[in-house]
Amino acid sequence: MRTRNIKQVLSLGLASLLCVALVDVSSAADKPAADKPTADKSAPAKPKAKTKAKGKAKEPDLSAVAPPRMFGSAYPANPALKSWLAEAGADSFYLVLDPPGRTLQLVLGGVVIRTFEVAEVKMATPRRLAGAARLPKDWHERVWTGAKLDPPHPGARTEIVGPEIGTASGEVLVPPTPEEAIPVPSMYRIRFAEGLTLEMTGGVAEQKGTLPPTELPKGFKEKIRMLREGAPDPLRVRLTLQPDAYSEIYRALPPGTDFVIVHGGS
Amino acid sequence: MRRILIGTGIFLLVVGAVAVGGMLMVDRSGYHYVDPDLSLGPNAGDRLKLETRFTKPPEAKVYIVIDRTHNRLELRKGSTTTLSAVCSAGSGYLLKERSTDKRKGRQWVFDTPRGIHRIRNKRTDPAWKRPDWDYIEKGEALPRNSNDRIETGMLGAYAMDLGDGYMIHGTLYERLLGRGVTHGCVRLGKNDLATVYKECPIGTPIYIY
Repeated sequence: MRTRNIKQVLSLGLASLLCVALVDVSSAADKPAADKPTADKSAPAKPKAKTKAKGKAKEPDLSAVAPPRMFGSAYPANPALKSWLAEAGADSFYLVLDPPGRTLQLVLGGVVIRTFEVAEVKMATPRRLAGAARLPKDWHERVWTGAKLDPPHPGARTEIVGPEIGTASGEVLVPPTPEEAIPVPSMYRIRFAEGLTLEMTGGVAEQKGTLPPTELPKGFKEKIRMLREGAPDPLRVRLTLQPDAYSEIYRALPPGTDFVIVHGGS
Repeated sequence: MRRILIGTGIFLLVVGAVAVGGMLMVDRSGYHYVDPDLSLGPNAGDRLKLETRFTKPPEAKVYIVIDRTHNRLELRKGSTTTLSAVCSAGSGYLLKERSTDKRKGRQWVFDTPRGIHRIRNKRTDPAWKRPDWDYIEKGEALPRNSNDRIETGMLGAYAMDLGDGYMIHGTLYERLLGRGVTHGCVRLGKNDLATVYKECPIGTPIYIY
């Protein structure tokens, strides 16, 4: 009798656990890749990819997140690379991640203007019952467009009004240094229009206030948020950088920068 | 009945273990982090093409890279940096003109423009033709005669024109180098300016980010 009771209790416990896991999965079912409206408004307008239809979506269907530029089979190994080569002469900024080379490069007009060392690269997809959603098949074949910093740079542009004629004081207005003007958070993200998010880590916090959700008290609160809202990004790439590079990218990344991943064949 | 219970218990145990295991593998943020699968990449030939294309600027041996946020200028030959200098780029301020009977309420943004530029012209002992915004910023009346706008000595010993009124030039205020204090031009110290002027012919590309 006692053994039977133990088994029943054990069964009930496991059933509860299973229910919790199932609820978790169904709640965290992917919502459309909403682009958080925290972006730098000065970002130049880019042709946006088609967004997913609104409504309930049971599966993430990452392939349905329309890529802005997909290219034919002439370069099947990595069409994004081909596109990048083709557009390299254009006056546009690209971030190029080379995971085997452990570098992140800022490219303009086909010229590498800045190279940052990357200590670690991790890719992530929203969790599922036992594991995670699969990486989209073409994650390495896309050009991800329209970088937006999250959180964006603090503060607005300083405005000065010309004095009345003959009333100027002659005082020189000395602007702050970049470090004073743009304090860097302890973690920030670079979001792209098609749903990929770069999660930058490795820096030291210089500012307080609005921070990404993972900076909020973690644990139970974070789990509740995830259950309620689902995973905000279909695909994340976490980059761990040296503190200097971490700060420099936050301060100097041109808004609207595109992103490609170059990989393999080292 | 007993067998059914035991079977159900074992089944739930297995499922629960899988679920718990899966949850333990994911990040607290709700994401599952893995190493990217690097085996899918292009072959070595593609990679070689990439490096050939992007580490050697095809159009010029000498080029300039300017970080307008951190006020740094680099002079490069191929992939070698031959000069790393502190400069001053645009302040980013927005200047508004007071709207009066005679003034129209114009405004200017003092940004150094990002993108690719070229040295279009080089000058020694350059004179500066003061634009309207300089008078408005200083609270001075606009001159009637265009020749009254000319000033000498303000731009240092050399100036290199980038077009649209933007230049790389010298400064009387070297103590402010390293801060964004200009109206969009790029200021350099005396020695660095001489080096850039000497090394860069007309047509030299300038990459500003």
